[in-house]
Amino acid sequence: MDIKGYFSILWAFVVRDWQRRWSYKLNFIAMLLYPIVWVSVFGVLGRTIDDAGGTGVPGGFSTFMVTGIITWRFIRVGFFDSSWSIRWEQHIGTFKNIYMLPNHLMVPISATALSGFTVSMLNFVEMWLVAELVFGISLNLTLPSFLFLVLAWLSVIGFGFAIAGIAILYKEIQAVFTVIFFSFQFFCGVFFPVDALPRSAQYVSRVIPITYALNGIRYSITHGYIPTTDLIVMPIAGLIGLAIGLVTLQLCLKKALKEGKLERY
Amino acid sequence: MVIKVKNLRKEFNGTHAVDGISFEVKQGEVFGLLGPNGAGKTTTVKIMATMLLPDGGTAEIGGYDVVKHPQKVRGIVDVITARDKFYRRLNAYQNMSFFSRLYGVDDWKDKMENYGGRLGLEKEDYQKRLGDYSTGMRQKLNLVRNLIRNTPILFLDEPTLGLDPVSSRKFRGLLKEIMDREEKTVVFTSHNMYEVEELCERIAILNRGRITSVGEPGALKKRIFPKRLVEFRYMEDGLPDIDDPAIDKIEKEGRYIRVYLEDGRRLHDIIEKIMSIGRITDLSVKEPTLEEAFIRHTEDEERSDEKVTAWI
Repeated sequence: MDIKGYFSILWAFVVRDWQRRWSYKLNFIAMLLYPIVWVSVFGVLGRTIDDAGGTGVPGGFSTFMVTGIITWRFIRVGFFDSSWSIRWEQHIGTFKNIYMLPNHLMVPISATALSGFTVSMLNFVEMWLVAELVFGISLNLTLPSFLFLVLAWLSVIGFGFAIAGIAILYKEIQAVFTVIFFSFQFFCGVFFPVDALPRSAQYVSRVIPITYALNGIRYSITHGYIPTTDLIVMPIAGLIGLAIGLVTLQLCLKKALKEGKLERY
Repeated sequence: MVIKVKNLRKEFNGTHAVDGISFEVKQGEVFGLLGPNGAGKTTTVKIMATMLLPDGGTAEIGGYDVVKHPQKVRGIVDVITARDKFYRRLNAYQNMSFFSRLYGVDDWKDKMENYGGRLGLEKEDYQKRLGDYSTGMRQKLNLVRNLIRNTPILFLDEPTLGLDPVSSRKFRGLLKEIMDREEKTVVFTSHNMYEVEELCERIAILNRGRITSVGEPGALKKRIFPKRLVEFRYMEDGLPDIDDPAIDKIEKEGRYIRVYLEDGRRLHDIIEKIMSIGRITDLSVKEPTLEEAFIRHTEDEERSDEKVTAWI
């Protein structure tokens, strides 16, 4: 399959997904408002703590929280979109038509993930604007820091593929992964610094790539550069995550084909 | 041969869904898979469409092995089932635009309107969301989707399930036209004997995962059900007293009596005997339908667990 063919498929998914979102008008509005509400709540919370004397976090706690929320929201879509999409296609019965393409299943799955990326980008821009214009939090987003953000997204895409594979076999598995992913909020320093965690929990933090993603992005915003450790860890974590994701997806696909769980028509 | 299936096997939890079946389909042929529920028809189709891995045996579609080259197979095959779905919140144009992009077809709109029109879909219908479509309309659009994709091999797994008789007939009509014109190779599964008889050039009867018979519908009927059937209306209670070694079985349904003959050559003698009973009307001699042949064959199979019989 050539690049043009891939982009045609990618475009098909992007158009379909936005048409579908637009068909649910209230949900569409909620999708636009949700990140604004989120960043506002945590922006006010951070500012209140700053006004009360702060926590000693570089750049202020409001900046810390808003950066955490924006990054979290951005990478969350990469983590879940592929698996939700597969589950949804299976549920409504269109998965067979997607599967019957003469391409590897990775093609539509990755196209779905990239389609989800457009939502991530929209939410990111909204939250960034609210942070700047409403709370006066200057995020100083440079090209390297944005690229690092995209790298963070890519690092969780692999896990997204793995969950997508497992979702083919075990339909309700997302509930488990939702719990796991939200536990990352605790370990990875979304709402508070990792240093505030008990020492044993900090060991867990160090093996989750999202910790490095958040740290790197915060540093790039507050200090203007990304720490070397994060720069090294993120691409490696991304590659490992992607490899694990692809292998898991392949194994799950084979098992689903063997057990007849690929498509229940 | 475009489709070669050899000793195909598939087991689910100790049950043999497909138990060593073999058949071949020529290019442009319409081949029917006929069988009761759980016979293995859908499992066979799923394996041939690369949606299921076999436990043993081989299946080659268009020269490609379904296990070794699944993507190549998917490039030349499409499957239509009655349970196929679209995106309910999108209208027909939006749905077809999406699938056509996936298939790499640019002139989908003209094709959609052309094929859809012949199935009775109007242009206004295409503006409606699929959630507002009836089962029949959705199934017509499903066929249109396949025609736009235009694969040389088509698997139709009970495609008219849920359609009303008129829609079903239109659907079959278009299928027949397309099969004749485009020389598509088709594997058709159905419970509906009339459909199979009308559309298929050859059929295989599946029962409990095994092919028990393969042949042309006409030959199949004669082979499975060589008996003649005499039907008449009997005005008395109980069964008429007709005794003849040529009679295989006598059945009663309401006032109607069916006499199955083991030996068709003695037909005239039997009719004379029936006429002599008196108080009978509406006597007719019938050819067995494929449905009767199929039911009879399945009953025989279950009784005797016979080995495979194949003929042309």
